[in-house]
Amino acid sequence: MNSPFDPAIVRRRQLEWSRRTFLGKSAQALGALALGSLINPRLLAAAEKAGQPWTGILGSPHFRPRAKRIIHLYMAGGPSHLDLFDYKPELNRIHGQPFPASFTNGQQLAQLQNTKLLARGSSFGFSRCGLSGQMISNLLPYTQQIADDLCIVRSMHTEQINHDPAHAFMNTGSIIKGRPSMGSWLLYGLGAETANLPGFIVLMSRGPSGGEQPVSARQWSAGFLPSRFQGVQFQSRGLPVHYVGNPDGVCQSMQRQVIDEIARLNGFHEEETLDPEIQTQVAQYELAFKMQTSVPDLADLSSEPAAIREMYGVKELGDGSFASNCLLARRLAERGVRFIQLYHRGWDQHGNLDTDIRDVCQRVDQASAALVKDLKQRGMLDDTLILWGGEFGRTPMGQGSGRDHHINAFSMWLAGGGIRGGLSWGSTDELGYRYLEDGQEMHVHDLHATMLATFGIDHEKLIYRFQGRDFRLTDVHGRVARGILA
Amino acid sequence: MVHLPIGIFLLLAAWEVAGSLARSRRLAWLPTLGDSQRTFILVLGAAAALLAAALGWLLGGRGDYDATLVEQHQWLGFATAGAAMLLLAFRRSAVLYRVSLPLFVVLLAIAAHWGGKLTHGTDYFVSSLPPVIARLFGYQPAIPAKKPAVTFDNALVFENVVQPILKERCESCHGSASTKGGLRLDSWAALAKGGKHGPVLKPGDWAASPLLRRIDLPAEAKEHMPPKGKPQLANDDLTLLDWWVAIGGPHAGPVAALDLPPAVEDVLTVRLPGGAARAVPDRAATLQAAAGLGHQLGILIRPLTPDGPWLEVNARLAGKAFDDAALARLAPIAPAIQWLDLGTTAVTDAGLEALAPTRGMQRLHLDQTAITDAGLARLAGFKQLHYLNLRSTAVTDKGVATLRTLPRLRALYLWQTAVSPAAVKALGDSLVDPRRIERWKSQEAEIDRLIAAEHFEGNTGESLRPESKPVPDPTPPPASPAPDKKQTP
Repeated sequence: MNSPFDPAIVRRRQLEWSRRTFLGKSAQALGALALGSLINPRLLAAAEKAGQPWTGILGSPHFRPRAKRIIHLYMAGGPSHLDLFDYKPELNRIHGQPFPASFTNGQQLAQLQNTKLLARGSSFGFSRCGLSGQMISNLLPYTQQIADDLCIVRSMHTEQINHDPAHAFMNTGSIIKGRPSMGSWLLYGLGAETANLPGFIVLMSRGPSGGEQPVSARQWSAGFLPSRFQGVQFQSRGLPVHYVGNPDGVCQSMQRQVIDEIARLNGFHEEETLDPEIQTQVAQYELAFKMQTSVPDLADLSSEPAAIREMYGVKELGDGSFASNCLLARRLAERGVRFIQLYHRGWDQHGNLDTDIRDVCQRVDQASAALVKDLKQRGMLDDTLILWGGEFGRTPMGQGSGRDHHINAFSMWLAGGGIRGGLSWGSTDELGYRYLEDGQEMHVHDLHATMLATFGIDHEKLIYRFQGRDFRLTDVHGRVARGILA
Repeated sequence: MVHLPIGIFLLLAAWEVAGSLARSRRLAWLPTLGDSQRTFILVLGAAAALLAAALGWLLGGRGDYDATLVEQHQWLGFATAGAAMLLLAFRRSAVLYRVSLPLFVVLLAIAAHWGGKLTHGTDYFVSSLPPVIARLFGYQPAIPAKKPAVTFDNALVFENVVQPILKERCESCHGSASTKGGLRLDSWAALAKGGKHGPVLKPGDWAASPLLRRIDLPAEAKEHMPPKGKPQLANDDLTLLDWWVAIGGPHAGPVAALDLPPAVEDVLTVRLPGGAARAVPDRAATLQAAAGLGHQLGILIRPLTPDGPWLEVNARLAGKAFDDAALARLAPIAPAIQWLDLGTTAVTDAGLEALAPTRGMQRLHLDQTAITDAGLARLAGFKQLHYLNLRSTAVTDKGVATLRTLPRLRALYLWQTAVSPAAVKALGDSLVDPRRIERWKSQEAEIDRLIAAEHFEGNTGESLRPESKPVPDPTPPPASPAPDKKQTP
């Protein structure tokens, strides 16, 4: 049926409404008319005819794209860059001694405030890996094997020192609530390549116990963008979507009729109130119907050879482990999902760093590397961007037997999707305290800008008007790191 | 600063003219200049003129500008300042004043015109007049009419690609009229020579080329070029300059002979139109043909760039519903397809015939389809193909050998096929350019030299070859004296 935002219909309505109707409906009606004129009609056109997915607000990318999808391996809690990717022999040398005040004067501290700051070196060795010679810790032996595919960014820095604001900053580019996350911006701009699964999917895993911080569902919300662009969390235990089948006595064709009828009734309501969220609801019902077939197919591991499962280190799909999530992420990537975010909670080592970080690396390392290798052998690494990293790093000063939160320096790696492999980008000072300003620094906004650039999107041009001004993922910041784009 | 005396004296002249017109009854409402006001303005103007001349003399001494023009403007400026003081002296005498004021304004105009020549280039005035009038002044447009139009086929890499960018964005301050920092960017020789702080370009090395680094700085940085307020370089200009430096900054030779990455080709398609060798499909016609085709076939068709005709076609989501007949229906847009994803579809070897006109194909996915060696033979004409995914297909060594005819092939995926590693190696050997190997080998020697000189950060003194021993775990740090509390943030 015609979209209620068809200009002809709006005009007809405007003529039909007499003064009585106006007085009768007043505020709601006026507001709805105004809303109708403000919303970009392309956003709400019923483009999903015959199973065509939403293809984004951009008619074409701003320049030639390299990546088509992104898998974000989000290490929630703040992995310690000094024990994983940033080799600092000078820090080892001054282990146990007071940390030089020249570094920390005037800088923000989290729990280490008003304590004596002592340097803490790393208990783990590093190796030069691959032909590119990247320095990676011996805690990550599988990642060492794929070093030539990675671009390790060591000059990451952020502005938020506590978990929830830092998650919001990494996901949405702002700590102000109500802003859309990365995945929502991408869906808004480019859509997804499938109509059978959500375009933005989130999976969670955790462990070891004790190093976990909660991650709010707000991190994958669509903010002020229409809610159809929000992330959908799939279950990591059992089937990805519970109760996806029909109840007893209901067959697919009956289900189809039910959904069509509900869509028709929603259409009447929509003509009256002109609320775009109704269209979202219609789209979600449609998607849910499609998922009744696509999710069982997704979860059916019988087509996965045992060798692949061993490569990831999966004992059983759906056991809630990071490895199982990685395998599921690869299957989602093959099915056209645009943004897949895998949270692993368990990196917040304020204490027991040496034992706990070994444990969490064992849970995460093999699967992360296997994901890269698996995509590569399928020929999908060229157009899949993989990001690995957390929301901030950890201090070079010790906190008991661990480290505190640190915003001035942390490390991430990127692979695939038009990113140069075997490259080290940016560095920190000799104690790993702060990033160096040598033109290769990477703020979270810069990361967002670069990520959008791999999709062929100019981060300054993907905007949405809200509350009277144009918003974008990078707000008024962000510089593309052109040096890491292949 | 220099515009202040100009403004003051023009105001004075206008006021005097108004005053003399005010004597007639109809124009009596016009203001007249009283004696004290005249003196005040003349004193201000003379002071401003003196100050401007002094500052101009200091600026001219820096040597940033063309010496002849500077000297001429300098003497005109001194003359103007002197004449301003004379005017001040003549103010009481009606005759002298009325004669010298117009003459002074003319002198001022001439001095100002020379100033304009210094800042904006010798032709700044006549070049902005309508051509008919400009020709009366003997101004010739820069491009001689005899030269053939520049197209992709005959474009030269420095003259027609790089130089126009430098001319448009840089020449106003780094050209013949004005040479800031002692740097001129209007010819290859000048570019190679560099400026006051040394060479600005190191061919092949982006990081050591201040020309590019300063353009790449954030817009707010002090050293960012072009300076704030001047027209900035476009993203396309940056793409071309980066590429040009990366390939060694050649200053001769045609563009067509070079290996162009896709991004550079996109920009040049727009800037250097035409050329028989690269029949580029028309964007409007292509998009019109593509519109609706995607919906009908249940596939995704999207443009790859904002202004070129190139398309990305993704048939994967149609799955087995997309067969040879559907592929044949893509014929109207086939010349414009650069990325084609036919993975998991029902196409067969016969269906690939429909792709024959797709000369521009760059990425092709044929994974998990019924393609065999016969189908690979049909790909022989795709000279631009650099990515081919054949995983889980029935191809064999024979088929892979036929891929030798694809000079640009860079990524070939053969997972879960019956192809042997020997066949792949043979293909690789036949495609690799031996000159590149030589260049890499010489660069390896350079890397060895740097290793020996310990220029790498974090070098523990051991060899950096992959077989080197890893750094051993140091002894665990001593237990900290404070008891371990379970932290609950």
